[in-house]
Amino acid sequence: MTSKVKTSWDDILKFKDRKEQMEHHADMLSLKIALDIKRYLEDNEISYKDLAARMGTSAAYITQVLRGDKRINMLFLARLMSALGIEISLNITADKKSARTELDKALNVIFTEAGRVIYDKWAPTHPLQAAGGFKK
Amino acid sequence: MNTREAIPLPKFELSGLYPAERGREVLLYVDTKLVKKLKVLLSNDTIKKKFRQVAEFVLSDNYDKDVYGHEQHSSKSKDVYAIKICVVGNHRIYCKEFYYPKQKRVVMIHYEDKKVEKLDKRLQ
Repeated sequence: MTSKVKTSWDDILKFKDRKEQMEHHADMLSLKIALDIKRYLEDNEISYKDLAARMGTSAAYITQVLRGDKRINMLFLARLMSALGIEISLNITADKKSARTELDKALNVIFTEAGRVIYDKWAPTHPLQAAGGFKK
Repeated sequence: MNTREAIPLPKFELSGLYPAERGREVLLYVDTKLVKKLKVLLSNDTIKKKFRQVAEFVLSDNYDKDVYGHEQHSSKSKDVYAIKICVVGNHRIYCKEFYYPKQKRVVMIHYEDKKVEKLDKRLQ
C-alpha cells in the first residue's frame, strides 16, 4: 500500500494508453447525454421510478446510467425514445480546434503562448525576425 | 488563525466535451492533509476512472446533484460541494470553492466513505 501512496498525481491522472483515453472520452460523452436526459426529465417532471416503469427496467439502473456510472448504449436510448415518445438527434460537426491545429501543422505555423503567429515558413528572412520577433 | 495548505493538481488531458462556459478558469487543488488518503482511494482503477470523469466535470464549471453538488445544507457549510463517486462504495470528496474575478479554485478538503462513516459535525 505504501508504494501506491507514493504515486505522483501525474501517474494518477495520466492515461496509460490510447485505449484508456478513449474509454474516458466515451464516459464523458455518456455523461453529457445522461445530463441532457436528466434535464428533460426534470423539465417534464418525470421521476426515475416513473421512467423505469415505462422502460420496463429498475429505478436503480436508471440512476446508475443517469449518474454516469454505467455507459449509455443504443438499446437504452431506443427504449427511452419509445417510453417517452421523444426523438433523439445527433449532430456531427468537425472539431474546429483540431481542424485548425491540423491546418497550422500543414502550414508549419508556430504559435506563441498568447496564440499569436510569430513565425511561418514563408517569411523566414523577415527583417523583424532578426530584430527579435516577427509578429502578425 | 487556522490556515491550511493546498497543492494544485497537475493539468490532465480532457475529452473537451465539457468546455468551461461561464468564462472563468477552474483550478483543482487538494488539501495537503488529504493527499495521502486520496491517493489510497485513487489506487483503485474503477474509482480513479470515475474520479477523472467527475474532475473533468468540475473543471468545466458545471454542477449536478448526482455528480458534483451540494449535499449538506447549513449556514456553516458555505461554498462546500461534494464530488460523488458511487462506484466501489459510496464515496464523497468534499470541496471548498473560492471565487476570484475570472477564476474559481476548488480545493478538495475532506474525504468520506458514506457506507462506513457519518458526516463529521464540524463539516456540517
